[in-house]
Amino acid sequence: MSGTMTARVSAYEARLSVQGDEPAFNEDGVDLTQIRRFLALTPLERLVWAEHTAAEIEALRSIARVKVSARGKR
Amino acid sequence: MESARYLPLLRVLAEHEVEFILVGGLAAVLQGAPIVTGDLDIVHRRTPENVARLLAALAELEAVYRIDPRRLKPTDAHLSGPGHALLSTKFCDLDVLGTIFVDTRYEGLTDDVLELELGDITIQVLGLERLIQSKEHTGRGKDLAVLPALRATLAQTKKT
Repeated sequence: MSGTMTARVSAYEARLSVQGDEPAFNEDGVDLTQIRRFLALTPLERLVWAEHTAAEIEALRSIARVKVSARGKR
Repeated sequence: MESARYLPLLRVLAEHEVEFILVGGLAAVLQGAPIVTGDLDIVHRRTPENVARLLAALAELEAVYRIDPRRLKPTDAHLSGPGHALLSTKFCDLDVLGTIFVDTRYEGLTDDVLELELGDITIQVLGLERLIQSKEHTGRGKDLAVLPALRATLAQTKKT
């Protein structure tokens, strides 16, 4: 995450601590804190987040190996 | 294909002055929905001039059909019709859609777009409310799965 983006998120989190009465989840179980944090970013910062996230998932996929299956067998 | 790089792809489309509207998951991300998406979806204006600009941009992007082992390149005939061209490019997968909502073309979406600045380029993005309608309309599991997050984002956006 870039310095600018980190600063923006930090500023948002500082506001969050003041507005502590806002719900963290809605009735569908959606994490509203994540959405509020994301809305604090600019569109370009959200695009960079999407690129980084896609890259991280791809990196994890490339190194992931099944060691123990769901049934507990190797 | 390496890791997705959305901005360079959008920049190539903008540099070629392609008229398009960003739809799909990335459009939702740009409007504040923290969801993960794998490709980039656009609806393009299907005039001969714009299709020619799009083809030039796709050539620069080294676009080929990603589900065809022959690595076929998109053509003027493909992009002039209402169908979907599912492409792979040097930056990320790109779905070029002649229509969405079964038969809605570019001109039918322009009342519901917003313009977003992404650094040195400006693009048209389908608004969150219409995006939600499109996900509801398809009724596919993968679309329905993200609806709660999109609706919550829209609700939060209206509060701020």
